[in-house]
Amino acid sequence: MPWYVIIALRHLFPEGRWFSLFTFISVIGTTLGVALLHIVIAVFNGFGYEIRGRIAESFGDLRVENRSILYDYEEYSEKLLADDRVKAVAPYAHGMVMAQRGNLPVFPAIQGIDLVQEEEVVPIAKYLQVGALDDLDDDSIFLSSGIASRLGAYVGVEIELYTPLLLEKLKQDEILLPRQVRVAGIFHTGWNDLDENTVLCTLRLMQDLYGLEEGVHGLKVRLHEGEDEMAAAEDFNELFERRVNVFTWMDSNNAFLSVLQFEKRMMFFLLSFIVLVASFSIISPLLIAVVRKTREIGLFASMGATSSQIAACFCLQAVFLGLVGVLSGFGLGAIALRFRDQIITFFATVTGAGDSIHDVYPFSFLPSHVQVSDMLVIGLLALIVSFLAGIIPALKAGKMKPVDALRSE
Amino acid sequence: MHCVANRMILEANNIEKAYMSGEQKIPVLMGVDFKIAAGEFVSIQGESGSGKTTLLNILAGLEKCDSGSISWESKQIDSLSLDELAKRRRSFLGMVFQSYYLVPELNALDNVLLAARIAQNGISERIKNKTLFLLEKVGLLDRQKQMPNTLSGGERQRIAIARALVTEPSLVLADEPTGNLDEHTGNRVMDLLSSLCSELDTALILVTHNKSHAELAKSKIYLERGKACSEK
Repeated sequence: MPWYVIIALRHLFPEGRWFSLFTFISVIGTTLGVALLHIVIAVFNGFGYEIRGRIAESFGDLRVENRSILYDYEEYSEKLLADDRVKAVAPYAHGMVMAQRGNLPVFPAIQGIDLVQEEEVVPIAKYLQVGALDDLDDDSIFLSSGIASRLGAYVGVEIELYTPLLLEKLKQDEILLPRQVRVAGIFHTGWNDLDENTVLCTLRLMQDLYGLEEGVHGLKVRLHEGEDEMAAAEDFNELFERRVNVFTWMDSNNAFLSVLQFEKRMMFFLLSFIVLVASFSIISPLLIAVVRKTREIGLFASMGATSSQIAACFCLQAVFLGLVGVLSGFGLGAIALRFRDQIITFFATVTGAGDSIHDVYPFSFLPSHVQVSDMLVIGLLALIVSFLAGIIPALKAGKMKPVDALRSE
Repeated sequence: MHCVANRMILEANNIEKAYMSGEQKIPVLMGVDFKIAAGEFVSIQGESGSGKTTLLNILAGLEKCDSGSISWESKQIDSLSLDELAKRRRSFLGMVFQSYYLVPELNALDNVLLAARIAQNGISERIKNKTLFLLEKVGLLDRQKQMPNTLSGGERQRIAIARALVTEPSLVLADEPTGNLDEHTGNRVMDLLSSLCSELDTALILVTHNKSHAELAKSKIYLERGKACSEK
């Protein structure tokens, strides 16, 4: 091992002691900076991961549509199921309706599903807060929690549905009466877009409401766990020769996912300044060390050390400090993430914030998801900043004239 | 001035050096000539401020002279950069200082080995054996794991002597090595330094205020008003 590496390590970790006070003070800033970045990014990932999970769960991994009515959907369904990657396929029809209870109207999105096939793709039963799957028939609907709340509806009440087909019939001087349906259940997925404004009904009812006959608007596809949605979508698009459009849940929610990603990047950018500030906790003690070790620097020079080796000795100390800071920061971060719920509960109790997280987010816990790639970026950033912090003291040490160093008091 | 019949390992001709004190130029060395042969022992004496340490630093290549030339083993060093000088210094000379300058974070053994690490960028079995040999010679083999702060002044200086000799240099420069020691310990250290240099055929330049130590040298130089007067 080169002598300057040995000296750098010995300055930081003197023999017979684990840590010197100098090392502790220098490391603490980086430790806290890295821990904070690690915790915040992991929690951000956790939120993103949970939300993405809920979108993918309620949306299906893939959807097949042709921007019109698919009458030969069973043929597509068979071809999809023939692929080993596909676990299940369910047809659906969707559109907008006006739902009215008394004189209170709302305009939700409506989705007609084949309950048996849908259960294979989307865990509807899991989402049902009130009611049972078996209660859904061609004269009933499930309301999302948001719609139910706005209409003041509950299981058993009657609701009128007005569809665009009514307007079409009016143009032909025919009158089609609104469809009277019963609320059979109320669901909540945890995905806001669905929960705020969705009505579920049977595929048969939806085909009646929209005059689709035997047609559907598309197919939801669930892949086996671990399969790549993007690659599958690309393959199926080729298989169907672009007659239909196969797209992933990510394509469909691209804008939202981009916002999540942007938020994470902004948070990373802003918090990286903390690591930058933490670098001053390395620069200052190292500069003091250079002054403290001036005569030692002269000694090294008298023994034949070059200025670049002397500079490397101090620059390496900064990098080692950064490395220790990164490791201890990740350690501290991991502990904080491990006990995050207890910490949140403690602060909520102290500040009287109660269950505010549960009110705002559809989680009963603070999610966290650690990504190795994020840890690598954080670690690398901290090491680069530490290295840069070491350059000034290193240059000061390297430029010292040996004879001045030896003469210093 | 000094000259002997043996192979010259260091020659300095007409060395001049002055320091600026504000606008005023204060000459320290004014045309000093110096030669030392392999294995020779030369002492340099002089009053405080006479330029002894400055001359030593110039001979060691740690400081540039204003004029004059210096050769190490017949090779001129005046035009070399600081880094080139540093690389040559590794095998050519060892230094012993008044304040020992041991690295406080290294134990006695590692302090000695440090010089070899700098010189060779690694430790061979031969160097390890040499280090243990020198530690035995200076009587500190059993204290090799001791940290400097647990050693006495005399012991620290003996470690410094071993460190100066571990790279098997042609020349050792000792700048008042007994200056911080009591007379008895100083005498022991000086005896050890001169005998080890003699045994290893290493030339020794000793800067000292102590006349009895200077008397140990085969050749003596006295610096006065920037000039060197030789005594035999």
